Amino acid sequence: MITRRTLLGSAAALPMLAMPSVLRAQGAPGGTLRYVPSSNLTILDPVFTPAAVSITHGYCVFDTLYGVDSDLKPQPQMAAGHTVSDDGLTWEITLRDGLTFHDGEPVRAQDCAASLDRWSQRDAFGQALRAATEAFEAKDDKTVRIRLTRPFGPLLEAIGKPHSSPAMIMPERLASQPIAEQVTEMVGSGPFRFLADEYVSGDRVVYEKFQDYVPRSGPASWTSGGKVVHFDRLIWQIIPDEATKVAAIQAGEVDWISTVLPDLVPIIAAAPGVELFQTDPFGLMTVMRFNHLQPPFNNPEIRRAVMMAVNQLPYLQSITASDDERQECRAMFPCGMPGVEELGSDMMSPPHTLDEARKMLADAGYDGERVVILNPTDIASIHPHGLVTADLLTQLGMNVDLQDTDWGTVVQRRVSKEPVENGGWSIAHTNWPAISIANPATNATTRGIGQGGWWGWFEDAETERLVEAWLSATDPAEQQRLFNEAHQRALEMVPVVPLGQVFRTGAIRSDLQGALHGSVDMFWNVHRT
Amino acid sequence: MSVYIARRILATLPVMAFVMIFVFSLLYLAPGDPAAILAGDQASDTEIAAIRTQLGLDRSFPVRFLEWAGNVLQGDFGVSIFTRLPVSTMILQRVEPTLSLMVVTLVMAIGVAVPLGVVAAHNRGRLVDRVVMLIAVLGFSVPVFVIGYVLAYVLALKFHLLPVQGYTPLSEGFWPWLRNLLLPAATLAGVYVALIARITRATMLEILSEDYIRTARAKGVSERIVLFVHALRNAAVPIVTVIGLGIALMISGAVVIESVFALPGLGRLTVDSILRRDYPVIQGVILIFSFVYVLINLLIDISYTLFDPRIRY
Repeated sequence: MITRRTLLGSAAALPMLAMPSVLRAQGAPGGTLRYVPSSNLTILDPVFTPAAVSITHGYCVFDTLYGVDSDLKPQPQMAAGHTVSDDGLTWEITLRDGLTFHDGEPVRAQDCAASLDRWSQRDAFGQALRAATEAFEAKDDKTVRIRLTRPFGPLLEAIGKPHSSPAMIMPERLASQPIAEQVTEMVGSGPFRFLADEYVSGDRVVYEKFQDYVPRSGPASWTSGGKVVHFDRLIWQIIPDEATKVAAIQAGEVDWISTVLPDLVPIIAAAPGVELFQTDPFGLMTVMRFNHLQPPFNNPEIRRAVMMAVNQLPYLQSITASDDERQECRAMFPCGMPGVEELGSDMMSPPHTLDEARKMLADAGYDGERVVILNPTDIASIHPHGLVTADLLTQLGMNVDLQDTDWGTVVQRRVSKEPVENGGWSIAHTNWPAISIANPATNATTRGIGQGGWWGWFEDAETERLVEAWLSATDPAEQQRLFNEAHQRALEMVPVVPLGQVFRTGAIRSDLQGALHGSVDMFWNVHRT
Repeated sequence: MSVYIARRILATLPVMAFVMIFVFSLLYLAPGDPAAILAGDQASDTEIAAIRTQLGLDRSFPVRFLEWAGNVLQGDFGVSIFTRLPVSTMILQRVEPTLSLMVVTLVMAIGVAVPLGVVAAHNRGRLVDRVVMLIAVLGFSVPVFVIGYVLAYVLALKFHLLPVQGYTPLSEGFWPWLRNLLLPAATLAGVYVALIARITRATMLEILSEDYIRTARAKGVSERIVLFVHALRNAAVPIVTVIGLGIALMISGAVVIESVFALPGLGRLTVDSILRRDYPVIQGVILIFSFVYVLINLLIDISYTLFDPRIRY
């Protein structure tokens, strides 16, 4: 017979029954780490796409010949070391012992050469290296040889770049696929095995610890060092709703959230058992991009007038929660990155007035041309920028047409080279991981390739000459001089207006220690206390 | 009856053909280039063009449509542009959560709404009636995501009774399966409780004024039998119609609920695919939804004969 007492007792036990199984499983060594990425993982090939979520996945499954430490210095990862010929034209990289792919096959130099060859067709830094390369080849099973046609100073920085299509190593049979085709078979030699049969795009991605992975000795540091895994399973859970993500970590259903929407940061800050962290110490650089093919922004004087009128603070405030999450940076390269000096201070800092900018526009011959701003309403980190720019340009007396639409449409519209009357555009905004645009070769926003380059199609032979010179320089002082010259040229030509840097906040359960946060989240070294 | 069913099934074929042409044309004309999204922010025009060619997006409308329609007729919905997984696999992975959400929602909604509607009709004008109608108005007026957040805060975060999000397949046990569905289903059921309770009340009021009800009462039949056997059975046709249409409408409600509670269902797949312009997946999902619509309408028509023997086809 059910009595009042037994009924009350059962009711008291209900929360235990209802407790998520993940909570009950916690505490055991090994166990499962549950992670919520910032967006869904749809493209598995981390060389094919520069998307951050695919790169994070890539570092689970694949490894790189060189990684970088927290000072962004290249360090051997799959490599035991390298030699360079006296003329600087032949690089030989020796593989360390014990490297095995997840299908049991040993990693050979042939795999590495094919991987570098494929990567160099896709990535901007890779393309620069490819232009100076005669062959990526295997000298023998353990030695990768790169034969150059001219010296290439930042070779290790290129093949060890940590973000936006890193040079990840896959088996030759996969790396031989054309670059316009994604690799979908996930066989790498990284610290986790991808479990294809448990992968449900839009819901979950599951990995298990790769038992045959041989970590380097020494501490882990960014994408280099000892990648020691302390969990048996890693589960990525895709949660599209930002508030639900926060509720899930508060309830202990997940361990780690990649990014927290700025509006929700105070909720996490007040939640017991959860800690906030800064994701990438170099953050994102946010920019206003002009269409250089069409009036009025085919005129550099008009671009300069707009840049001079920009106050970065409202832009940064519109997409961040606190001062900790933003930094004004009046430079065409991200502040804080190696070799970057804030050279734009004089051109962008107050006390410029809007009257001065209006006069500059008039002197430059602005004649009321329509300025179409493409504005994605579904991207919280970009949408407010369209509103701020529209307001600024209206105050400057420009003929503004703010076009709100979804991101998919923006992505299509911004590749249109047509005049605005035929569906073209004038201004669009975007964010770049700082680490992806850290030098003259990789910074697509400042490259002057023209119609074959990044949308907006800035063309400038002098910029490209300086990029080539920087790539060929091997002396650090000469490299810095050329870097600054390229930077100064960009400030004069204004291919984009820099709007400052943004630092994202993530959240992690307090019982996890040793988590590494860089340009992507990394799942080695982290353990449960 | 079987001739009627066969005729109805045959009639769906031109409808489905029209849906195929319409969906394909719409996506062809809609702005948004999957190749540009796929290539990412850094891509140059040349790289985007290479991807478009590789995916066959640069071919003409008739060529692409005929190829796609031919494959669909053989049961092949194509491959996702983004994941490169077969569309049929992606849809199959998502059917169970959506179906589960709909079943639990319907059971909750019918289980609550029909008795509420009957009780309200029986107590017309009294306090009970007004309270039920107030619930109905609230259920209709408050957006589902607001109800969802409030329920999640109270039941999951405050009292830790239910999980906030996620889905556990039925194969892993009935209780784990149900536990994940209770919050989303309760949220979604609010709308349907309102809808079904109002229709039940209105229909019951009409039926309760009929002569045969008065006769039954005069013969001394108990009020419970009068209400739930004599009256409710005759009120069933409009109620079933509303429930059927509700199931169809539930698909749009599921889109919101599946996002809020992180259920990996068809609703989320649809939204994600539309945002990415993953054409083969959008086309596949819309075809499936259209088929379900047609099927539900057919089942509603057939069910009428069960409740009202006078209906013959």
